[in-house]
Amino acid sequence: MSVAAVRREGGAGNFWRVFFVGGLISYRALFYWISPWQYIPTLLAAPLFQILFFVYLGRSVGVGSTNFFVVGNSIQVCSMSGIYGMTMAISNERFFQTLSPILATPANRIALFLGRGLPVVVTGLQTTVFGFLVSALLLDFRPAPRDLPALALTVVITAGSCTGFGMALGSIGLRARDVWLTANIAYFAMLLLCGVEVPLRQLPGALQVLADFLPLTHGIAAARLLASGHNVAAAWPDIGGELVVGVAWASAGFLLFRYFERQGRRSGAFDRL
Amino acid sequence: MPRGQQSIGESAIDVEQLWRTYRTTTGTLRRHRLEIEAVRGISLQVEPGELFGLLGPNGAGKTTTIRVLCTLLLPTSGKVRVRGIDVVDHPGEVRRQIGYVFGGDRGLYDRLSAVDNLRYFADLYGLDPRQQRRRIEAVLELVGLKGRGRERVEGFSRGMRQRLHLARGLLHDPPVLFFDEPTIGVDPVGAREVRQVISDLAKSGKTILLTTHYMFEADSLCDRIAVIAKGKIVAEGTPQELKAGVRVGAVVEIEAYGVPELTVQRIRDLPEVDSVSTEVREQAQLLTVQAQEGSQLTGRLLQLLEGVRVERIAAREPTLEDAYVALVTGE
Amino acid sequence: MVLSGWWYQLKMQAQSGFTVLVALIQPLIFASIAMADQQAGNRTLPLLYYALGAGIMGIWSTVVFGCGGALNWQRHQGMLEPLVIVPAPLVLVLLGITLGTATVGLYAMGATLLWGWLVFGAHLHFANLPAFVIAVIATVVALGLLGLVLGSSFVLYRNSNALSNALEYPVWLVCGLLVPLSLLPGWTHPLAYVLAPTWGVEALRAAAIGGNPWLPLLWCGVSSIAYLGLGVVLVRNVERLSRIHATLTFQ
Repeated sequence: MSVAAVRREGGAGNFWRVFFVGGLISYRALFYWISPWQYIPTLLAAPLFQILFFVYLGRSVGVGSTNFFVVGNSIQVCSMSGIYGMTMAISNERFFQTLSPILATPANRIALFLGRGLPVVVTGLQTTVFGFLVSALLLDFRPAPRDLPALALTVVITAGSCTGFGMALGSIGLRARDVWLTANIAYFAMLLLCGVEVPLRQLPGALQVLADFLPLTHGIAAARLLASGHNVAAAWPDIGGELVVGVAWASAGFLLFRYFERQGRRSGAFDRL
Repeated sequence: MPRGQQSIGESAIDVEQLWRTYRTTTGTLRRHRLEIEAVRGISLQVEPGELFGLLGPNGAGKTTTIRVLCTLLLPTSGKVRVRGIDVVDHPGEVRRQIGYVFGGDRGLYDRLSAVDNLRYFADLYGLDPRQQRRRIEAVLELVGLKGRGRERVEGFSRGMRQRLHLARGLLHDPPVLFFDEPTIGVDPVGAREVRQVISDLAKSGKTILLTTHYMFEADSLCDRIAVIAKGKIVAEGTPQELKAGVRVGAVVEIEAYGVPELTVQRIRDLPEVDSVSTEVREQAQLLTVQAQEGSQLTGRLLQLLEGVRVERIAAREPTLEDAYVALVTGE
Repeated sequence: MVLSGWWYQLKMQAQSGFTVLVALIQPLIFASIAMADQQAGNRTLPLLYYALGAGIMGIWSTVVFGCGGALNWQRHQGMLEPLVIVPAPLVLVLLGITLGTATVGLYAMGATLLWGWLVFGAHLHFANLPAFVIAVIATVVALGLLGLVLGSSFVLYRNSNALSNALEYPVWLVCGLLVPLSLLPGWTHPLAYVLAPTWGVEALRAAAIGGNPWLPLLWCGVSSIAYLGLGVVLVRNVERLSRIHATLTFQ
């Protein structure tokens, strides 16, 4: 076969290509809930009923308000994608044994790893927006934010930080025997601890401190402030907090990935299920 | 000189005293560490444009060697260079120059189409986006998957998957290619096609190192072969050289039913006999007796086999297969 | 036939980490959420109410995931086809599975009650203990049968996990497992009354906290029998459909 010399793309251009295009392709390959049969029950129906369930629970016990539970749950549901989805998008490489061929390429590891997060964040955002919409329709949810862009930014950052957390889990899933148990425990623990359903002050002090290091806590707090008409200035500390938490978890995930790559080369443990 | 450019006279692949040890733990209650020496001091050189075969049985260390060469595994000791670049110090550079094709059902994204699988790796290999589509079509055609690009890999047969692996390794047109058991599990027709592709690639100037446990594959394809067993190279040379170096003088093949183990041992104990290997073929046993040059064994063998139903007994010329068996069983 | 299926399912599930999650951790988390909120709120309903509710939610979760998961697992092992062509009716097989999973769910109940008592100081006194025990059994059976009816669709659905996910909250909500029916919009009540678990839960709460458990128990029994009948019909249909649409294997 005669072939004209295959040209390579320059460094920066290839980085972004691997990040965006490559990220999307691996999302399609590994994220399990893309088909409508999966997507609708898992990312639309379940969140919808979850919101309803907790709003009614709140009314039953007389805690908070409809808005409290709507904002909390609508944002929390982005972690279905962020936690489970992101874990899938990384650790399913193990199932397909595609980690070896990928690591045999010269591709930039940051682009390779982080690029997968973007479609996952977008999916999470879709779930959250859907949650807000159905709440408006069915529960008379009428927020009165003074600053809608700030609320939107908060939601985006929170979806991102859940995804960052998922990245850490995904990396763990490359080597651990069963990351799903951990992912599930984390997901449910966050329902309890991050102020989604239970006001933070109800929790014992130690758990409140733990909550500070988890995604959702700050983002939901900020979103509740903004949705009830507070000034952006009041919400900034929490928005910043959520951003820091998200970046920290994503970095941990990436560093763990690199560590496993190096360790894999040393010990030959790749693709051993 | 710029890295990646081969200087004249330099080997394309240069392995010097490669050792690779695995440490594993065994047992559940009392875990103790085991050290498995998969590769024990292998050295070899492959010249640019050569088709080199690494031939050996399962567990001989072939896959370990090739993974070290592909930068997926670090050597425990030794120096390994591809196109003059050290695989340990500059893995990124090496990865740009090599293609890695391994066999098996896994290693591809089942839920994506063949084209999408290739697109992903085209990006990972840094192919110019404007060239990708044409290049992907070209490699699919080359491996015989033309027109099947849009189908999802989960519906592919084993042979088709193998071809897709091949296509992926060729995407970025690397000067050096590594094939790890490329025809294993592939039907005979498909395997022949794969071998043809490999042969054509070598003719077009690519340096190829392939591992296999199929004797005839190494014999027919390779310019040079290294026979590897238990982590060491036990013989090296062109197929002709290996055949000439065969120590086996005469081979007698016996097809019989129910040969007792004691009889096999007695045959082994005959002074002229080098080795006896047994193989079960359906209900019969095939005994392959390798003996020294010029020995007239048939009569004595029949004597030893008295009482056993012998279907067929024939003396024949030794083949490379016999040499191979002798080499890898260490006799 | 049913008993052996029930026992087998019980054994299998007891060994799975996923079961621990669904039957133990998830109910405890929900119990904690409900009870923590109760303590933060107006405390009109006692903690026991929520501990019980979370326990029953756990039973439903084990049924829905156990059934879906069991069928999926069977499908994975290539067992669904043989099961369908076995002479014994598929109904009995499914019945065994769903009842087995429901029994595993009893762990959830025990765990939430214990947890409620230990961590939140719930008062575990039962107004009518014998009725309580009967009500528990009735609820387990009712949930199992509801699982049978819904679970028949799992045989058709190629990946049941998604469906399991989607069926948890709706049943919890509509049957008033954690939230009193009186709080839900009126139009949901008819739906709730048709679902057997609603009555089982009513009976449970009456037996535990106070009230008449016998009428709800009666309704629970009646509707459960109806579900059994419905389940038989549905499973027969589903069997037919699955052979048409070839969903018995993953191919």
